[in-house]
Amino acid sequence: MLSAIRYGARSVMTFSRPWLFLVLGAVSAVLMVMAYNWFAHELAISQVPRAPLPLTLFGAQLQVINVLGMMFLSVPVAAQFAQEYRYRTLALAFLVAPRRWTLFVSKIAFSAVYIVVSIIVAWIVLAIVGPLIPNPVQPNGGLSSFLTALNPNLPWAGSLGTMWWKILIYVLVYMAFVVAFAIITNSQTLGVMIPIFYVLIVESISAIVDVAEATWFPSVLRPFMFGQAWLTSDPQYPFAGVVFFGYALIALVTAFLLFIRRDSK
Amino acid sequence: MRVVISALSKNYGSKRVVKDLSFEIPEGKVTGFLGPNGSGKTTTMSLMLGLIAGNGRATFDGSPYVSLAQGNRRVGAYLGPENFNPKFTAKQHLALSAFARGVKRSRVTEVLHEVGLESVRNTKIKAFSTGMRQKLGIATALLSQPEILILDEPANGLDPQSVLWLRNTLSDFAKAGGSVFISSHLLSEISQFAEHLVVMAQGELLASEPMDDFLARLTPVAFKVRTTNSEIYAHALAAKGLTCDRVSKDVIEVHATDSRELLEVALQSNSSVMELTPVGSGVEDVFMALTAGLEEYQSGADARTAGEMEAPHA
Repeated sequence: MLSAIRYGARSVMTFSRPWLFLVLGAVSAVLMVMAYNWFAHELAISQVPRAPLPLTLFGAQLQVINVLGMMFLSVPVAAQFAQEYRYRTLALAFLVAPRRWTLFVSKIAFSAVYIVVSIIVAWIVLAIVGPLIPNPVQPNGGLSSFLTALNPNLPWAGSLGTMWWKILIYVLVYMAFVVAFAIITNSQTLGVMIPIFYVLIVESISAIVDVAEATWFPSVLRPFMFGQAWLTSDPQYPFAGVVFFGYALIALVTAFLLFIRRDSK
Repeated sequence: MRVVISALSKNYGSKRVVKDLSFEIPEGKVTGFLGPNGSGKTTTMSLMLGLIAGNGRATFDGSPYVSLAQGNRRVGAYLGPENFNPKFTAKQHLALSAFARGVKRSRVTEVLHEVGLESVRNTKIKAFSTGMRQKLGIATALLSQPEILILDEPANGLDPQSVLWLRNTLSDFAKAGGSVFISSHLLSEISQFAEHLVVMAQGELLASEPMDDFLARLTPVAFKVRTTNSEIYAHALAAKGLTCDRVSKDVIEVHATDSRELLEVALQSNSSVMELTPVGSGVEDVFMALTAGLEEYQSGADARTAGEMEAPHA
């Protein structure tokens, strides 16, 4: 077990330059928040009709998890497993930590630590840079972000305290999908791209079609929609968390079984 | 460390690549693991280490590798030059292995020096030649000062000096009480330092025995004799009804199966014998006879030769 912990700890630091992705992710997320609010500010002072409102704190956090989580953190997290397949180093890893489940748990645990640290760093950067934004992030009020194109009235029904841990959990569960697809497909690229593709393309299209056809795409096949509903404590979907976490669990268990049973040489 | 393989089997789809393999790796000896290409050597080693799933058991001091206490330190294994992260440097790779195994960091420098890769310790593995990768793999296996080394074709791509170094290193390792299980297709190389042989072909075990027993399987068909007076010696042999061919001025090849008879003739004809080498009973000869027709990927020439080979004693 100790060997697996050591291997997991060291590999999270050595595969795919995780600190570079953390810094790039945090800076990009904050820059996007700043850019959005700067545009909102410019449009407002130009008296453009229906100029967007500045981001709320929650909106800003969503930007952080969207940009940092989906675009940047996914890469090193998927690499934890996919690079072992890609470079055929899994045999070496299993020689070091022969009990495969310990290696799986260790890698997942250290990836989770990396994600949490990254999100906290992004928050800290946002807190430091936030006041410099011309149209500062609003602590409360209606949400307005580029997500509004998909869901213009995304509600936020939770308390501010709930928001912090829910965002952390949401990103961790999202990463569970990334890890699962990286293992199932043996590919870092597919591990990163399948969840993004599913969220941005499949679920978006299905949402539009769903509205038009009512039952064409059963909403239960949209795990990330349920994830968002859970994140925002949407009262319309009281069991959203069960569906979202259920999907993640199924994906992760499938990946675990493959990791345990698949030949590696 | 006692290593016992019992009824090890592996199927890929409908193809059975390892068939009920059972043998034991003797302690404190170098055991050569021989077999034609595609005979299942690497698969067997992977099965032994739990890297692939199959049937049967491979135990190290009574436990499978995956549940052996401190197995990752007691067993040093290396299964091929392709199993490296090319983005790592040699030092990073060894440091990761050492850290995970709980081996002192100073061992990294020691093994790098031992295998002669100290000067390229900070070079990325993607820039390494096959030989350098082989050395790095051997260094990884030696890192934890294990009780047994399991090495898959470690001599491939090594220059002659490195092959000599490998031979001495493994012999010294065995003399110090360690066991070595080494696969190779370089038969002459293995024959120079292995004390025990395990031979397989098409997934089946053909032999598992001491080197001497293995060599005794095939009776020599001739002897190469270097004498001070080959003319007189050839006449004396002819008088005894033995035929011979001249190889060079001092060397003749005598068609006989018993070397004592040749020495007696030399004594009677006052010829000094400086060299007496059996022909047709070396490791390569026995191996070729044993695996005749059992190569997985046989060339046309091989197929013809196989048909001509004499089967060895069972």
